[in-house]
Amino acid sequence: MANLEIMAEDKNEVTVLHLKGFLDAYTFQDFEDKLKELISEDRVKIVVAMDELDYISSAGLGVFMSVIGQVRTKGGDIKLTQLNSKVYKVFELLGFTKLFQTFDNIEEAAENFK
Amino acid sequence: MFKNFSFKWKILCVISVILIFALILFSLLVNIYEKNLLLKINDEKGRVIVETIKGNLDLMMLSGTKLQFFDFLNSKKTYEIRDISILNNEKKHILFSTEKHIEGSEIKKPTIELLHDIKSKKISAVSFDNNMTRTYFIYLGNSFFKENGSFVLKVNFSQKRIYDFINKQTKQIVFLSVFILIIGFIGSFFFGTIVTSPIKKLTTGTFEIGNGNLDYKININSNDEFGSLANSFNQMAENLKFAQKQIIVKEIMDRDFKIAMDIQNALFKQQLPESNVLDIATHYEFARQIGGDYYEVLKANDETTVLVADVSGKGIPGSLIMVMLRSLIRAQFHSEHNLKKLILKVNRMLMEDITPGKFVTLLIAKFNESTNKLDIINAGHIPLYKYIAGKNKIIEIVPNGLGLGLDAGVIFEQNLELGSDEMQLGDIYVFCTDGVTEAMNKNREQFGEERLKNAVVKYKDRDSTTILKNIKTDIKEFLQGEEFNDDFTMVIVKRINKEA
Repeated sequence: MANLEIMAEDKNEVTVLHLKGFLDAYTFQDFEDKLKELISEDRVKIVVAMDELDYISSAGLGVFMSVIGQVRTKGGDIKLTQLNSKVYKVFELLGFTKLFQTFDNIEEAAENFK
Repeated sequence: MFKNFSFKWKILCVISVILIFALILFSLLVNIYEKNLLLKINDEKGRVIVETIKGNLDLMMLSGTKLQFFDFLNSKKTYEIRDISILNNEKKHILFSTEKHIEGSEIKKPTIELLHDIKSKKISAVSFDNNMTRTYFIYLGNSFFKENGSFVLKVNFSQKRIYDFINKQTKQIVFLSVFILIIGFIGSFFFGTIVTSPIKKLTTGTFEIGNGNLDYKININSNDEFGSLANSFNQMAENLKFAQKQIIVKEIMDRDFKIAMDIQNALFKQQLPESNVLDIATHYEFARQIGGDYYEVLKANDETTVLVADVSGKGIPGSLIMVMLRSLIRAQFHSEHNLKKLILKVNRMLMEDITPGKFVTLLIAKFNESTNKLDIINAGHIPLYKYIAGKNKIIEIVPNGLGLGLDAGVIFEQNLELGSDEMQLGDIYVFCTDGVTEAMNKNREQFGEERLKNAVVKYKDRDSTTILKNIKTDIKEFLQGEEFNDDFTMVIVKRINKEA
């Protein structure tokens, strides 16, 4: 079973989460826990960097939907960066690109919070 | 009492009894030895005394009167020396210290035998009255008080003191032994009770737990091995109780799960509507647990609607949403003929009840059998694959659309596109869920769209059922024994000739 590695990095008030591996039915819980932890700490300006994400399943996409309401209520947002073509296709197919902003790099995304 | 003793205790009891009896026997033997020793010492003492008396008499013989002799003999009497007398040659008492023997009385028969050759012996001795009395004879001489003959001094010694002492000692030994025996029994009984009571408690506990009383607690408050054993035992009972509870919960869940599966299976067991121009085949199987996939083939007049949907998440939550969606579609299907309006309505209603984070992707197409036209909506689902018979190639039809349950308002509506197509004889439409394209083998390699498309082309000339069966076989081969990791849903619609 493939794994998901999550690395968190704070850039001022923005938190960057680097995802590596597979975000699917087996690993989505870790990602969801991490996001909920950030929300509880009021760190709601979140950038998710996906350059090393190999695969995302519907369960993985569900995580974004389950937390985005809380994040936006608290005045934050989740912005996505560096989606590879495969991952982007999944996001686009489902219409996620209409619901979440995507950027080519982390700096642009972080800048967008200002 | 013994019935309740363990084997070990029975053996200990028997050994104790044997040891105590051996001790008694030994004490008695020592006692007898002591008695004999005392008698021997007494005998020697008696002989010395007798000889001393004889010496005194020899001295007195020259000048003493009969009265003086009498006084002398009486003076020699003690507790031990009961009486002293002098016998003549007719074995008759001539002088005596007690009233027991009167002058001229004869001595007893066995004693007479002893006097036969008394002259040649120094001292003769004999015991009477069960050894209580020992009598010594010693030859005095052939003249006594101017009388001639043969005279013998007779001294009766009492050994009663020795026997009294020995008997007293024997009684003490027996009494002491019996006392020790009784104390020993009582002691071992109580000691045994103290030692065995925790074992009894543990036995009772085992019995109670064996009978299913998992609330039973063993109460042993000692700090020894029994105490810790009781603690482990109580912990075990608690763990068992917890495990039992888990099993019950799991059993209930399994039962509910089975009911849910039966309900879900029943939903898919519907007869496909009849059609002269559309050859339709469906297949659905869930991976490992009840799934969130859903398909439907509905017919109204000359319009046949096919839809496949995939709920994010499996198990009961996924399946509940699936059932919710099915009810909404079925309820709205006959009153809302516009496909786009139908989906907008269903999405709005679904949004009211869906859990945040859950969503549904859906691909729906309405085939008009008279006009050969079809409307297509894709709400975040994988494409509709179409084999175009006239061009012998496969295309993807993907009108824009967000998944259901992601947004209730403007974004969803703005992005929902109504696609359309026209079908020709021999065209094949493939509806499926990502469980088909993302079926993964050991190397984490997906079956993928290309293999699916190639398979459709390969089997294009067969009927829908055979095409579907063959594609499934191809996927199974690709998986090389791996299980499907997601639900597998596929609907194949082939445009056929009316006469066929």
